[in-house]
Amino acid sequence: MLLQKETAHEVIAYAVSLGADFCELFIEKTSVQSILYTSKKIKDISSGIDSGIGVRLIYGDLALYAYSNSNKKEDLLDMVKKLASQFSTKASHKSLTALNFTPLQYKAISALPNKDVLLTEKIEALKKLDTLTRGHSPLISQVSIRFLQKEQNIEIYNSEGLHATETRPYIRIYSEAVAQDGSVQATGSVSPGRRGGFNFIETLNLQQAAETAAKQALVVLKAKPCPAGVMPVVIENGFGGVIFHEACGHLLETTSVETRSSVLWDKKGEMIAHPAVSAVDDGTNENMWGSLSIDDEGMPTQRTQLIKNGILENFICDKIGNMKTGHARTGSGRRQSYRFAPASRMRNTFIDKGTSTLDDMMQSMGDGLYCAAMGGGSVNPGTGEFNFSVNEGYLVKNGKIQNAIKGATLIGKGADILHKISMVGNNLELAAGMCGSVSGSIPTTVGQPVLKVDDILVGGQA
Amino acid sequence: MKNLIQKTIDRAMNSGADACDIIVNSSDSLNLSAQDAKLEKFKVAKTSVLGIRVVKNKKIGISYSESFDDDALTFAVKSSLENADYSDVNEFEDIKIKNSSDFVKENIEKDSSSMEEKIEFAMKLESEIRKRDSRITAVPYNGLSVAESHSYYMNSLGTYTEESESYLSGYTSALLKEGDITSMHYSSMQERSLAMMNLNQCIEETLEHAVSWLKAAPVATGKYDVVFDTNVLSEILGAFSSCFSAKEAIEKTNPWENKLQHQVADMNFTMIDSPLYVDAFFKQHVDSEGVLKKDLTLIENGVLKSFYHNTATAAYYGTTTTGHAARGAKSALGVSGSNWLIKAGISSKDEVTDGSYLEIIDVMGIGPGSDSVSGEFSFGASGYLCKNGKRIQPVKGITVAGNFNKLLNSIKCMGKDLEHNHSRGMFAPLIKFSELYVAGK
Repeated sequence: MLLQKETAHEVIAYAVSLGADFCELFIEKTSVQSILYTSKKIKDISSGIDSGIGVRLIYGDLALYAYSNSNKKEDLLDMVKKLASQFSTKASHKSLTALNFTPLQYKAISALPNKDVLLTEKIEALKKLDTLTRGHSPLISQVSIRFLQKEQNIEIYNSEGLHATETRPYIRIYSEAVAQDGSVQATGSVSPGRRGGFNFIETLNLQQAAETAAKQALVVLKAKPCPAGVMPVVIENGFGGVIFHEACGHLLETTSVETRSSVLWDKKGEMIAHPAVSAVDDGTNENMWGSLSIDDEGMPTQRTQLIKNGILENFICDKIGNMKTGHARTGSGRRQSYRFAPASRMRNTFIDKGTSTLDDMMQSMGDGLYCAAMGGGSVNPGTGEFNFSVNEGYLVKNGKIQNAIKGATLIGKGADILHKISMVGNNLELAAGMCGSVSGSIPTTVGQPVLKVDDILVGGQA
Repeated sequence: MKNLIQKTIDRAMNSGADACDIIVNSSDSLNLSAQDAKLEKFKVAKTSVLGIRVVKNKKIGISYSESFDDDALTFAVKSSLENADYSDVNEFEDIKIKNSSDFVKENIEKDSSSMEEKIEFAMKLESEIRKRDSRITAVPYNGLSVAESHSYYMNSLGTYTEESESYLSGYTSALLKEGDITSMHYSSMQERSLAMMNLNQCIEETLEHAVSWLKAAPVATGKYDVVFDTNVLSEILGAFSSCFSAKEAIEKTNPWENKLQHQVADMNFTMIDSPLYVDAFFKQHVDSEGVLKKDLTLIENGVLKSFYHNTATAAYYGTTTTGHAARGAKSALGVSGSNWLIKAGISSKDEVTDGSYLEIIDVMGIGPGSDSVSGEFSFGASGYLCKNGKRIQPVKGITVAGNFNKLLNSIKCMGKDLEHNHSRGMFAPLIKFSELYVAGK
C-alpha cells in the first residue's frame, strides 16, 4: 500500500466537504533502470525512483488537478485546499459517507516473468546484440543500444469508494545500427518491448533483431531518392499500424471528441472506412506493451471494437469523456505518471486481419510504393491531416518490387485514407511504440496486417 | 537546498566516490485551459528531482530520486555507486570544474496578476477568438501557463551554481469549417507578466492562417524556391542540431564529424550560439557542469568552426569545453545549444521576396521526417505560393523534401533584418532557399 487508507479517506472527505463532486488520488512509485551501450562500451547506467501523488477534483465538468512528490497528509490537504479555493462556495459544501475502500477485484492481465539477474547478465545481452548487428556487414559502423526496464506501482482511491492497485512491469530494447560507405551514412532500428521482465530478453530472437536493424541501414545506404506524387502504397504489417494509430486512433479519443475537435466526433454508426477495415483497441492482450489490467482511473481494461467492416462502433473513452459525450467508458483513462491528469488514450490498437495476401496486393497495384518499415508520424485531430515517414521502402513496377528508396513521407487526411484501404492482409502483427499526447508519453502498441492504400501523396526528392 | 545537496555529495564521497556532482531541478506551475466560455482545466504542480553523478575508478554511475527523504537519498547514492561498478572505464569523463565563487542568477519577475485575472485571461482568449469568425467550430487548444523553475548544481570540488526563471505562456487555436473543408492553426506567446501578454496579436496570427487555409490547395509537384517562417527554420535546424554535437561526432553519428574548418554552408551563412543574446527570452548563464556560458560561433562564412563541447568531449578532442554541457537530473552528460543567431545578409525584403516562391508557415512531422545521420528530410507543410512578396495562393497538402547539407548550400539570398520565432530563442533573417522538392497534386 503506497498511501494509508485513513489518509486517503481524510483527504477525499476534505475535498468533498469543499464541494467537489468527485475526488481521486493517484499514487505512484516507479523504479527505472536504463543502460546505454554504444561504441562497444557501456556509456551510462542510470537508475532512479519516480514517486508522487496526483489529486483530481471535479466540479461539474471542470477538472482540477494538482501533483506533488510529497505523500504527507498535510501536503495533500494543502493541495486540495489550493485547488478548491477557486471554486468552492459555502453552498456547495457536502459531507462524505464513510468509504470502506474494499480493494477492487479484477482479472490480472499477464506479464512476462522477471527473472532476477545481475546487471552483468543484462549487459551481456546488449553486447551479444551489438556483436550480431556488427557481424551482419563490415559497413555497419556503429551500434547504439538502449535497454530500459521499469516497474510502475500505482494505487488509486476515489470518492466513489474505489481502491485499486496494479504493478506494471515494462521492458524494452531500442537498437540503432549505422551503416557507412565513404561519407554516406544511413540508419536502421528495431525496438521490441513487452509488458514483463527480463524473461522477455531471454526469449527474444537477438539474431533476428540484429538482422532487422542492420539490413534496414544497409538497404537505406544504397537507396535512391523517392519519387514524389500520388500513388498506390502497400504498407507491411506490425509497425505499419502507426498509420491507423495517427490517422484514426487519435480522432476516436474522447479527449478530441468532447471538444468537437475530431473530424469523427459525430460519426458513430456511420461508414467511416472501407468495408475491408475492422479495427480494435484492446487493453487485455497478454504480455503486450500497451496492456493494462486496470486503467489509470481504476477501471478494468477491455477489448473495444472501434470499427467493424468500415462502420464506427465505439470511441476510446475515459471518465471525463463519458461525462461530456455520453459514450461508455472503455477502461482507457491513461497517463504517463502522477504528473498528468488521465485522458482517453489508446492501448494496443490495430487493424484486424483480413483475407488478402501481399501477392494479391502487388498484382493489383501496378506501379507504386511498398513500405517494408514505417517510422513515426503525427496528426492534427481537428483536420485529420497526418504525416508518416517511411524507414524502409521500395518502388514497385508492374507489381514487382524494385529498388530501395529513401526520404519518403506519406501525408493525407485520416477520414479520406480510411476509405482508400481497399485490401487487408491475413498476417496481423503488433509492435511496441510510445505515444505522446495530452496526458504524457505512454506505452502503446500499434499493429496491422499488410494492407493496400489505393492512393496517397508520397513526398520525396525525385 | 544547498545544504541538502552538500550533505548528499558528502555521503557519496564517504561511500567511495572519487568525485560527485548533483543537479536539482524544481518547479512550480499553474496551467489553465478554457473551453465553451468556461474554465475546463486547472492544474497546479510542485515537483523536484535530484540527480547524482559519481566517478569511481574512472567509471561513471548516475541515479536520481524524486523523494528527498534520508532513505531515498541514501538509496540514490548507493545506486549511483553500484551503477558505476558495472560501467566501462571512461577515460574522458570526469568532474573537474572548480570555480572560485558561487554563481547565483535569479530571473524571477513576480507577476502581480491575481488568480481571477489569469482565469479571466484564459477565458477571454477563447471567447474573443470565437467572436472573430462564425466558421470557428472549436478552439481545441486554449489556455495559460505560469511556471517558475529553479536549477541547482554542485560538485565535490566546491563549485555551486543556481539559476531561477519565471514566465507565463498563453496559447490559442482555431478550427474552422466551411462545407467539408476544415482548417486549423495554433499560436502561442510568452512573457514575464500577464500585463505584457498581447492577446490580440495571438488571436490575429491564429486566424490569419486558419482562415486563409480554408481556400488552400496543393501546388503542382516540382521544385520550388522556399522561404521558411522563422519558427519553421528553427524546427529544421533543431532536427539537425546533432551536426554541432561533439558527443555525436565521437559516436560516429554526426555527419559533420570530419568537417571542422571545412565549408558546410553557403559562404554568406554565419550562425552563432548565443546563450545571453540580448533579445532572447531565455538567457542561459551556466551549463550543467558549472561552466559560465558565452557566445560560440558554430559556422562562420559557411565554414564549420566548432562543435558543442562539455569537459568530456573536450578531453577527447584535446580542446577546452565550450560551456555546452547538458544534463538533466535523470539523464547522462551530453551537449546542447541555447539561442541561435543567424547573421543578417545584405538583401532588402523586396529582393528576398522577388519572383515566385513558397512561404512555409507550418510543418508536420519534422522529427520523424528528418534523418539526422543522412541529412534527408521530408515533411508535410502549409503556407502560401507567393510572387514578388504577395501571397497569391494558400497552400496545404504538400510535402517539402531535401537534404540538410544541400539546403545550407542552396541559399539564394538573405535579408538584412532579423526576425525571431515565438519563443525568442532563434533570430534569423528571411532566407530564400532554392529549388526544394515539393510534392503536391
